[in-house]
Amino acid sequence: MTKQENYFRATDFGVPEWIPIRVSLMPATWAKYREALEEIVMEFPFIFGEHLPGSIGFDAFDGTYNEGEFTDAWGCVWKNVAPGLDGMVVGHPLPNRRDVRNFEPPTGIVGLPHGFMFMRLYYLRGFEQLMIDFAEEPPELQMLIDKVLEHNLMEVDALVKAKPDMAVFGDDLGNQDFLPIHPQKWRKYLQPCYAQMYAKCHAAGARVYMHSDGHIIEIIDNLIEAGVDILNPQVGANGLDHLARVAKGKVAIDLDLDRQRFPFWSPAHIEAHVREAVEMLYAPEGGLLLYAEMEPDVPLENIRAMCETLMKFKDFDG
Amino acid sequence: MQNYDELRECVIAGKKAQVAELVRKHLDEGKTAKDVMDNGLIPGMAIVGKKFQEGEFFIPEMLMAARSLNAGLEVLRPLLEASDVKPVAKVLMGTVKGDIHDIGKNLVAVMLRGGGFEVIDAGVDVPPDKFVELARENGADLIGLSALLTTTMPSMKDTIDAFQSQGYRENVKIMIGGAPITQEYADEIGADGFARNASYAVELAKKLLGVAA
Repeated sequence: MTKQENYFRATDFGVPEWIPIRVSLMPATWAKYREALEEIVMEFPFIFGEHLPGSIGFDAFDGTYNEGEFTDAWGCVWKNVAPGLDGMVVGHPLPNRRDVRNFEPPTGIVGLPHGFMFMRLYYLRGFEQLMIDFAEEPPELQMLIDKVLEHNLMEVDALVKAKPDMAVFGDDLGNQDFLPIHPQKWRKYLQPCYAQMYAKCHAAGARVYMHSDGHIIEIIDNLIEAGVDILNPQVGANGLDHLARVAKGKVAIDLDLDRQRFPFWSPAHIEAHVREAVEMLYAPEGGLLLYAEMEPDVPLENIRAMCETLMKFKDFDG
Repeated sequence: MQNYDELRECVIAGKKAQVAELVRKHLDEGKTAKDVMDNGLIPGMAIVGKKFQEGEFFIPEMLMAARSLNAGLEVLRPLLEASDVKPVAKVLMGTVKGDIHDIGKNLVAVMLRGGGFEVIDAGVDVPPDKFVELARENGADLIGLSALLTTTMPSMKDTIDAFQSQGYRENVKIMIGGAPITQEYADEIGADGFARNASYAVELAKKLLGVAA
């Protein structure tokens, strides 16, 4: 069985042979550890694939990972003070409600980057302004949502033309331990947006993979209703027990292992964490995948420990 | 004479215009600005904090309440200044060096202002020495350090160390917060406290400064 076949057996609850595992290395992590990280990558070809020494440009960051400011296709101004990590939006093109009325989203295909719907709304308006919009519910709120959605639907149409097996989306819906807006308002304003986008994916035969940082427990059922097939939630913000309660068996979970703790844990902690996650979320029919993102502050020994641990637990069978 | 129930309810409901109007009404009836603030506005905001902690209120409701409270404070401000009423304490808030995330920091500032604190916003990506400099300049009683990223958490320790090395640590209490922060980390770096969100930050600030809740 190929890795891809096994991956989709896991996402489709089709009895995978092993738990799919994935480790992501941020550009800043490569820039810090360089050849030493390359050694680890070459030790674990099952995780990283075959790697040719020297094939990574340690300091060659893609555009948004570079230090400085840039303006995206929506007119949002990004700033990055930490090369190799994600920046954030510091300039919002629609600070006043009246700006929404004349706003025109990008006319061409610009992609669906992380932060395509909910985050895009506050990238455009500013976080506090958007929260006040959700409190007061002026017509401009729905107007803005409609404009962003209309563009996004066009993006999805373009995305699914290639008939992918899976369409990948990322939008951080939660704060660390709460949803920013009431779940009822989320269901009223945002769920229909995701549902329309994801329906197009399903119609084209693509599974829907969605990443969200933050606490989303109260809306996981709604994300499933909206068409999410594979959810990538954070352990730390949601809790394994809550995820087991609301998501296990209902949606495939690509578990975002607790990267907020990786820098501080020992290898033994890492193993205990993965063991606990697997024991709580594993089912023989599938529905569990494991993901670990490594920032530059994670010690090399912990990166290696995570790789070893994932290799050990990928064959967990209860 | 009216009691403050209606004023508190209007703060909680985020009714900005009504809050300003009721504040004027209480003043016209002879209440002092300090009394209206301490017994009307601030208790209203404290209930908002509780509702936020209990999951009844979310950020929009919190911000609406804060705006209504500000509308009341605008009316009171000239009177408070004329009678030399001091804020509960001065808090210097900032996101630490290397980190430009400000949503959490801004929410904490909103809630602290709602608790009667004066908040000096140092902004984002604030170097350790700048925190010390601003604390001295403004006579801050409490320092609030925010970080969203694990990679910038060491800047919190650097900031605390800067207060220590510059001989100003004894003059201030320091609290920390942000998505990856834990009480264990606060203890490890010598912070005086950790708050897991904006509402708890007000309780912690009062506790650290010995202010009645």
